[in-house]
Amino acid sequence: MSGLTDHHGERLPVGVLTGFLGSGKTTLLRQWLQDSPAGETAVLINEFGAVGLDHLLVGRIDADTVLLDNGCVCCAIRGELKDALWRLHQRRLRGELPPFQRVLVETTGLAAPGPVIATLIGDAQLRQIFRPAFISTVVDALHAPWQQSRRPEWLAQVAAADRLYLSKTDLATPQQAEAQRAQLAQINPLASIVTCGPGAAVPPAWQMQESHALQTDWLARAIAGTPRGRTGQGQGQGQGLHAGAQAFCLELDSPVDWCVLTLWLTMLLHRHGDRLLRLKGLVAVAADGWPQGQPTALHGMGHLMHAPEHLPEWPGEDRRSRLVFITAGLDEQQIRASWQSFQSFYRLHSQDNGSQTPASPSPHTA
Amino acid sequence: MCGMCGLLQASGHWSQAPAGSAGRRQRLIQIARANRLLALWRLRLSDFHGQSYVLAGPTGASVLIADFGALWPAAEQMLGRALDPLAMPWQPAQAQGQAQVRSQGRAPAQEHREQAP
Repeated sequence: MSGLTDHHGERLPVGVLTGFLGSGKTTLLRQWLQDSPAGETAVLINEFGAVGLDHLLVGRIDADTVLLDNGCVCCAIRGELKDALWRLHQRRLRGELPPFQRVLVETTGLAAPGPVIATLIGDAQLRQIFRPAFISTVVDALHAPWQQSRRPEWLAQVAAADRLYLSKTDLATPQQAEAQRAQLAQINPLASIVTCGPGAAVPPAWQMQESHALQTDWLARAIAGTPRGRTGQGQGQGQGLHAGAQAFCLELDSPVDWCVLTLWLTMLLHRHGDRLLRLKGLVAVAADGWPQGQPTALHGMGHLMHAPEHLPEWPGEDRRSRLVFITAGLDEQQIRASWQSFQSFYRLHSQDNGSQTPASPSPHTA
Repeated sequence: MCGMCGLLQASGHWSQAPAGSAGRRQRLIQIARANRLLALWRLRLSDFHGQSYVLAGPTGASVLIADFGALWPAAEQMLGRALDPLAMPWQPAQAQGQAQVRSQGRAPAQEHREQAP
């Protein structure tokens, strides 16, 4: 399935290109646009600062470009982004813009991608027209160790990515690049890593397979990359890995009760969403006509969850339910224990259903 | 939008996508499950026109909420404290203990239906 080239229910796919300041986002963007037919991709650039330098650099695609002038880190950009996307849509309808097939949002280097996705998922108007398609993050092989030790945005950008582009590998030593690659794989085992440099032609993200659609490679990668609480802290100490970045895989007993899972997850996201950088999983949900549970793909970031996808069939032989977490300061043991306590609470009550004893203590005395 | 009460349509929150079974039934099951948990804090959730929910507190205060995403902020505001899934007011050991007690002293089967609102 190629995410950005097909239209699910006519909604236009929106891709996000992010990466820290100076990591090479615009270089990559120009390369992508040179290789694709004109008028196919609308680009929105979110610039930090008074002068949109990036806007000048990508002048070739000027007709499709709307510059967001309030480039900022927090949720304030939502309104701007919404307006910009809405304007694009209106101009497309009126025929002022070519009928582009996708939108690419390049965020400022100091922004976490959360608000962009929040705008796409949360806004009732935009939801009808656009859908989030992918998040690509450019990582500077040379300066990443410094950035990750100082800037929390860096971690949010890396954790959010479906695909990581390692740039400036020609300036770094092969050892540096390799170490960086290994570290990225550890922080975000969900993402595939692509090396981009002057010599390497990197196909546009929309031509490569897509994150949001069903892919099993991320699951395989995640399972291989997260053998039980493999934390970033151990290996990366000397290189200043961001404290507490941790990726782990939680295996749930199948089939999972959807109601219990949503109660637990909504509560977890509400209270600890700021420390939950990423959540992705394939879960067997108990459903009529599915003896082993219906495969359901879950995808979330921070306080946000995408609409779950109920898949028509299992992608492979493995029918286990797994949730991959990337967290900052949230312990694997805590999350595991929390889920188990919810499960045992409901298991206890389902026993109650058939055998209610008069003297049984009410739940709030427990 | 409902013209009488000014309610917007269901918000399309991710938790509302049911697997397989019909939406209405699933909704009532979901409310019943939530109420088991909310009883820990003497809160109660009920359906409102099949589109929203009403969360009622121990003192009779009630608030209209759109979806399960809004449930926890509303519950916290009503109780005046944070609700943390990592520190729930139950002890796993205690819960297991109760389970054993209950399985030993099983009363004759008595149908206990989940209370639909």
